[in-house]
Amino acid sequence: MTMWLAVLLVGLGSYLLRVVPLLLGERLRLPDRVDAALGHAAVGAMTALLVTGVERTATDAGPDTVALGLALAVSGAIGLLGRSMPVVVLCGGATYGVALGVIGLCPS
Amino acid sequence: MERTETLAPSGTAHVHAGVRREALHGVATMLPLVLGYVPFALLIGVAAGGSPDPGAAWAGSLLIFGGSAHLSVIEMVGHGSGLAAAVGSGLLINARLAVYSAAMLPLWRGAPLRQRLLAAAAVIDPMWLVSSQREARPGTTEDRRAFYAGAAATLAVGWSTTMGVGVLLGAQHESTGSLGVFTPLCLAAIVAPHLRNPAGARCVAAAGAVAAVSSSWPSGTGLLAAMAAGATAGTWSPRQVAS
Repeated sequence: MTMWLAVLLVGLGSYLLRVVPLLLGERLRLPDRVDAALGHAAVGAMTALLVTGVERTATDAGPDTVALGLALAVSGAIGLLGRSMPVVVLCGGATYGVALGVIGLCPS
Repeated sequence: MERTETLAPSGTAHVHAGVRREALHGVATMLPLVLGYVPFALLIGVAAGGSPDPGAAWAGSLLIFGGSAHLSVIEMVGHGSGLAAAVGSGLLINARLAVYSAAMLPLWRGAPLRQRLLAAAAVIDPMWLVSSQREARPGTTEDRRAFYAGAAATLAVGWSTTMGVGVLLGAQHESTGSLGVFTPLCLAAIVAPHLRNPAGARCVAAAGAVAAVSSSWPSGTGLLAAMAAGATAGTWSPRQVAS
């Protein structure tokens, strides 16, 4: 029930955010600074989800965490070059798989 | 009708052909972008499939129609954050849509109310991207609106269908574990390009630091704090301090 409420409320609010400028026309103008701040807030949210996602996946200092760290480093570097999401995810996923395999072969 | 086509090539049939061509052009332009969003849609679908109410979570694919806000809502509700925090963060993330919508105003100025209401439902990052690209090329307003309609339909169908596949995958717990690693990878693909400019790098650094520190805070307040930190750091300019 909470999920339905949340989805409906965010859906309704998001639609209002989309439709109001198209209906009110030129009477609505956001200052450049507010415009930039909203863009940065969205990036901040993605960064926070990334950090919490890493914390949830890497629960200890085991092979999974090392492999994930390497995968993120590779994905980040490729993402920094401006490659598309499938390329970034494929390279990161491949790095994760290879790293897990190599770590598994190493004597403990 | 045949006579009209023969005598007036610029008549209704000609206009319809042009509109159809533009709509198909919109479809063709959006398809590669939809493919690019497949991992992200799958990821959200998997998260939705693992949530307490997969049907409601999937419905957000069209109701919210924004991946970041949608994922945030699923994660926050799924982890027991309050409704207000989940809705607040979802709306804050989607607040940028007002900016996109305002930017698309020239395309829809003077359009019938029904068209504007429908067009608004599809306003999102890739739609803004392709419609601004189309704006730079020659053509009539009708052509551009047809292009928008084709692109929007392609995005909506592709996004929702892919997320549905993710929901089915997410319902199978064996596959969810291995897919869990793709969450940070997808997010890295979104965040990393922002590191290329100083404001983006400041935003990511501040939001990341606050997210790490606030991970134990209650009810998703850490996410809101990270968003506020990112917005503040991104808009803050070192020149302001120097002057």
